[in-house]
Amino acid sequence: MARSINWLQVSAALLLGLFGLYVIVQGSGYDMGSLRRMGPGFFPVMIGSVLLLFAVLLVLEVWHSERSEEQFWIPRPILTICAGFVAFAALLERAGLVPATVALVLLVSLAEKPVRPVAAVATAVGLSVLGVLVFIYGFGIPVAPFEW
Amino acid sequence: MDILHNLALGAEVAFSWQGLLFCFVGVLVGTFVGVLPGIGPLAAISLALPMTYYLSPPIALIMLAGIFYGAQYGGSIAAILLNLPGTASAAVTCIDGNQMTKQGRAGVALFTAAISSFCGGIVAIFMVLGFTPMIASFATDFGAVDYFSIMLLGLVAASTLSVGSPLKGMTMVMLGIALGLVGTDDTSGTERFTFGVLALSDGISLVALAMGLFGVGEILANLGQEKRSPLKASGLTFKSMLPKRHEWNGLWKTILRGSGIGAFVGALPGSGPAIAAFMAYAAEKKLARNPENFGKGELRGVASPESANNAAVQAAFIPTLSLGIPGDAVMAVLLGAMILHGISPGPELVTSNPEMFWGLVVSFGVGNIMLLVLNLPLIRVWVRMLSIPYHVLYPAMLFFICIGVFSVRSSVFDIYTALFFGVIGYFLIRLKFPAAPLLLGFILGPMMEVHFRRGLLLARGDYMAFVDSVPSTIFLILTALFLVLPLWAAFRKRTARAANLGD
Repeated sequence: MARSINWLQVSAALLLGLFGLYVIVQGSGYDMGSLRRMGPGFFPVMIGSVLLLFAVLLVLEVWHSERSEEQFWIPRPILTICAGFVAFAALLERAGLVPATVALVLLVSLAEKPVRPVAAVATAVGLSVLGVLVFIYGFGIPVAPFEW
Repeated sequence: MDILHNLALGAEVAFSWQGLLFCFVGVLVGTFVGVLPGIGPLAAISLALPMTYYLSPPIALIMLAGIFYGAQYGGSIAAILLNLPGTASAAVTCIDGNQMTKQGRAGVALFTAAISSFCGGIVAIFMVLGFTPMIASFATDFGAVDYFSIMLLGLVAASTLSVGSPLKGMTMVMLGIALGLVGTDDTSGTERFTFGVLALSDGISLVALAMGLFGVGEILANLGQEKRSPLKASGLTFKSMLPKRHEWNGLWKTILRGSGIGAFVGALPGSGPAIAAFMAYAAEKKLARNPENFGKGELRGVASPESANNAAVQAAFIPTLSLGIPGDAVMAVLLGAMILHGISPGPELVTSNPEMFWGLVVSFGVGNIMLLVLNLPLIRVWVRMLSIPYHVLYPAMLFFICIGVFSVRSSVFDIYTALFFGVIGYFLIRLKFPAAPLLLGFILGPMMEVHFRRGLLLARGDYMAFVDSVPSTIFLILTALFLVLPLWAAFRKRTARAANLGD
């Protein structure tokens, strides 16, 4: 029986190889120096080459590897968590810790079905209070609870 | 008399109110994350890392170490009751532990797990006490080439000994080293791979990388999975936990063997508690008069891996504290924490920071006793923890990740970094690429570059320097062995398969 090629694994290995190639190209842009007095470019080129080599070997290894049945692309959790993080990062210094926390918790709560609005709001409020008490008053991070 | 003097110094640190308090906080948090499946000690230590900036270095290390071994105690609870390993090293405990739960002997299994972990911890403490200063004094003559070679050995051993494909492990190490290149080159001051981004000139934040890979990545992987089974554990009383007399017979030998194997395996660079637990279980099964009972609720199948994994965790401090070489990813983060606190780990640590080393060792003893108390009379509290719904837990964890990453250097950029590596980490989990070697490479990479360049500078550019020094030669030979064996095994498997296909 001919086994099909595991494209998912192969493309992951190829991506790693491409990254290795990039490290070599970018690294060789820095001063290489000599063996005796190495410049900042020497080690990156070395590391990139080994990474490239391993990635090529990996392509061979995973070519016919068994595919896992687990779902690979899960758009809902990935997108909601990205949205939550971006909102938190964007709001933290402009609007303050409390709005950032509420936005984060409400957005990431959408990741799982069924969405539980009451639990999400309660968690958001609880974490906001905790965050202000522990991180602003306790540790003194340079952020205000609300930025006016 | 010298050792008594040193222990007294250690006790001064460990028994100070701060030492006791943060040791307690550490083991409490450790048990908590150990109990909850899906958050390992690595995520918890990364989360706690920013908070240690407000503590003195020895106290910080006591707390972080407490999380690590506390998680070994907690990990067995979920393994026994739910057949879900709370930590990777508790996976072996599932085999017999969960069978015992199905037979209504959950209490006995939990009791044995706690006692075994405690004994494993105590045995390993004596190993740490005996060997760390010895290895450190031996290593004071190490030069740059020796350090480079032993780090190489640690990286190769860690990636080839882990479960799964050794080649994937080594590729992840290289990726980690490559990510470690980002930032200002120490020797020349050149900015490398920073794309002109100011926030990257200090390099990628270790905390953001670790929390992304092991916090956000794990959460995404959990969310993408099918529903988790609910817990039903009732009627768990302290009385039901006490094993019967005949069950205890000869169990102490099992525990001692497990502790010995765990302490030895844990002290080797590159092998973590999971491997130690697995090896102890395999050895116990081989030695047993009734190997067919293993896997069907054999008490020794719980005692052996549990004593081994806790012994391994404590013994893993031997290479970290004596040589500055972390054995696994958790140790690497602890090493990163020491560097962030301005302490350079290496053979001088035991003599230059005695309060740090001896304080930590004494705190291991204190912490293990605390854990015994936490795990035996209070076991019902932890069992209740297992019923915290995930839809409350994961937003809270994500919040702590965000605020924790930010608080390290008040950098919003690092929050995006954590998110980026979180998504990467999720795909790595799904593609079965181990993320722990990546982190190890990321932390060791910059140190290796420094030693590599210094070694060749001192040798006037002569590569032979790496085999001129005796320790370096030994490490390189061992490295070659670790490299060749799995590649050879993989090659044989491939040719065998090719031959089969050709028929």
